Amino acid sequence: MLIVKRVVWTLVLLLLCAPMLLQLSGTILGRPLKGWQPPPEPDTLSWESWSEGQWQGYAEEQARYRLNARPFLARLNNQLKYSLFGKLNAHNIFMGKNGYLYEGIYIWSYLGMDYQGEESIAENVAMLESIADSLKANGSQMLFVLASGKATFMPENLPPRYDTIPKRTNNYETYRQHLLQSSIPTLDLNQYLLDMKDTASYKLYTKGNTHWSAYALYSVTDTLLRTIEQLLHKDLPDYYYGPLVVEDQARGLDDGIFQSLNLLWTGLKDEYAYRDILLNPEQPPGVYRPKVWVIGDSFYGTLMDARIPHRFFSDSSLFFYYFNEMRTLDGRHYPLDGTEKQRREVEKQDLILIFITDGNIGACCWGMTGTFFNLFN
Amino acid sequence: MVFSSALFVFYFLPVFLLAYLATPPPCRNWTALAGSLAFYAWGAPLFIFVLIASSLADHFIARKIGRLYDSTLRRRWLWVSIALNLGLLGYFKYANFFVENINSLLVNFGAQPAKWAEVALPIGISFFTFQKLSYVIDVYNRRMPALEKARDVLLYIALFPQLIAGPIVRYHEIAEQLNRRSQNYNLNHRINGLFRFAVGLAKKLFIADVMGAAAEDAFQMEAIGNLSTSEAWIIITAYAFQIYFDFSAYSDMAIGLGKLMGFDFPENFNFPYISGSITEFWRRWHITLSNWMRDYLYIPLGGNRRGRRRTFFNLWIVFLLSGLWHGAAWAFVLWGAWHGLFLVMEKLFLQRWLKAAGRWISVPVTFFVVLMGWVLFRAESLEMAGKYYQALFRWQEVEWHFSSQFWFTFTLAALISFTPALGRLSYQLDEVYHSRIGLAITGKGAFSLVILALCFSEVAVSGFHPFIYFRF
Repeated sequence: MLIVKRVVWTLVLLLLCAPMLLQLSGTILGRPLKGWQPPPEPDTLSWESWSEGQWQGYAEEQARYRLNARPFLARLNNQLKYSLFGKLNAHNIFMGKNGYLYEGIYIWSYLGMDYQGEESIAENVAMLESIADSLKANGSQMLFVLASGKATFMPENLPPRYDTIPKRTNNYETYRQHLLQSSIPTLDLNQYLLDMKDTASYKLYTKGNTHWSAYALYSVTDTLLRTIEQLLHKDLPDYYYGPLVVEDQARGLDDGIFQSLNLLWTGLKDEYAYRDILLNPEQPPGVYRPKVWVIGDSFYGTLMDARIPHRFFSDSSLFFYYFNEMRTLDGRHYPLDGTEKQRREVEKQDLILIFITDGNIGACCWGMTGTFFNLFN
Repeated sequence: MVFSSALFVFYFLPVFLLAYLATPPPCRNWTALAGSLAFYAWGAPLFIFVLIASSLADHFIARKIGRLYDSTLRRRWLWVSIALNLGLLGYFKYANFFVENINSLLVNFGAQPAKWAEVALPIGISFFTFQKLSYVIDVYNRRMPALEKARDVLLYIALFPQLIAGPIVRYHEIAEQLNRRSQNYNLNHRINGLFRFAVGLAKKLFIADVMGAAAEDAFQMEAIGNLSTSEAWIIITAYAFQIYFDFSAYSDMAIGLGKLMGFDFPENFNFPYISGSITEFWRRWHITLSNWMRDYLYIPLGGNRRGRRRTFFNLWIVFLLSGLWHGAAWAFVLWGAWHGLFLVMEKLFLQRWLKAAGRWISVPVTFFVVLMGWVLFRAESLEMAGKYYQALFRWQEVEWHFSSQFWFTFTLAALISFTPALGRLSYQLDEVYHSRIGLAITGKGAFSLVILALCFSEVAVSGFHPFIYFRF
């Protein structure tokens, strides 16, 4: 029996030391976690930071964050809570009906909980209209694209806890109304997808993603490109669709929110329809690719990921992500450097594209409106 | 550094344990002391000097008392130690409270408030002050001789498992183990220690913290106003479970860590919520504090030997001070007075009534009294407590919104709290284990493996989990 006790003791001791041994050996246990922000680095160790306990606080956070066993342990924990209690250990992610996951901001925005008020929205649209008019006078165009939002697209699957909360006027509805009344060219992809909802051959929103499906992405791309052609009175490069492939496992980040749950078991089974938009190999000489600045959020990011702008827009085109960071088509990211404040640079563009989902429209357009308005007034 | 932090669980504990086991037994006190001082210095770097200097002063005084025969001189030295220890406790823990109250009085009378730089509270001062007093008083009472080495005095005061949140180990309970615990350097003791530590960690992470999150959300001034009556009752019950599982978890971990080092610390809890009276509650809740108060305050005040009136007075003093010991706020004083009131009433008549009513009545009644006390304990001010009492008794709609995890944990906590059979199961396992049947120890080891793995997953994923009793 002594041997059994020794074995038990050794096993428990090994378990106790295992995370530290993994740390010493540099072995990382489990797949990397998604969506975790690293805690701030500790200050330089000084008597002051030590005596006030500041350094220790940071060091403890770092010790937890940098634990090599953490990916596996965190996934184990998340899986247990998800399987036992349906609990999601992800910030502002909610389980809706029929297994559909939602991000909080889309729900709150759909219900009108972040409503900015008609006056504020009308004022913002008037400023945008003034910018659009100024651009037009200088030979450029503005296109406002109302991207979709999962809660607006399928409110029937919202988490049960929101069933009793009455829906009020929301930012999207008021923006849409004022934009359509203005002279700003507007493309409402939200309504476009809603119109397709009952007739689409494949899912336009899958269970595990906050963005539209790959299938919806190709449909909205087609509409977007045609709208740009009409607006600019130019032909964009010719393209065709690749073969359609239907799979039950997502590619890349097509089950993005599900992946952010960081569970042990990966892959949310659903209907994922993929096809590619390919450029026609025989393009007319001197094919036109407009110079475009895009002020947008992650919904435009899905077009970037699918390399749509790379095929149809000029190489010098820029994506101003949340008007906070500049992203080039060759994949570089920069903080804003003042380029956006130079009227000459703005006027060089053929198109200023505002691409914003209903979840973010309350913050439209992250300071861009004021910046551009000041440039032209 | 708290026992449920990643730093402690993943780094400090394995490093300390390996170092302790690798140290030859005669030198293990040095390893234990180094680990304990490092543990305290991590969280309270400035106050480590207060701890060391005051412990060395007590070492000097206790040795002096031990060598003296003149009772007057012995008493003088005892009072020096009491003044030193209570002076430090009073300054660090109660000076802010005292000045705040004086200032509010001055303001009421139209005078200028006194200027005062707020004093920081050294972590665990309430606990180690009581242990230091226990050391000197036990030596004074010739219950135990003074320790020869300053190292051993420091080890008794600063031993990290119980340094900052108890159990409060009276000197005579552990004096012999400080230098002679070789009989406990065996596998059984260690496996039992790790088992106890794992159980404590699980209680803290999987029960106390889940209950605590619900209480945290509810005990906000604005949130209380929105609570339905049923929610208010569920939340205060959840808080009762939180504080029990939080504090008893810490005690379990401390006892477990002690066993890993060969020490046997006294038990601190014995199913307090099955008590049939407040008198019984205090025999089951924070047992080591009750014992300390009895030995070093209630009995020296005369206990129950000087008539009924004096007994009641002594009880009130003990419980008012016990309340104040928990925190420098009027809510804690009231909490102590609330318990003192019921103890006196029980001495007068209530205990007879409760006994006659039977346990099916007396246990719920006692639990109700304890719950009402917890409102004072949890509320951040008397105003908040008043608002919460209103929420409890305004008889509004029956409505609640809690997650399935909350209900599962709440039910589990209730089952464990009110079912002593679960505790007895552990004792039965111990019996089997003492009969040298390896099944029990294997079972405990296997259980520790599973529970520790689950606890690791929780520690790795969640944030800061302070223990409630750290602030005392």
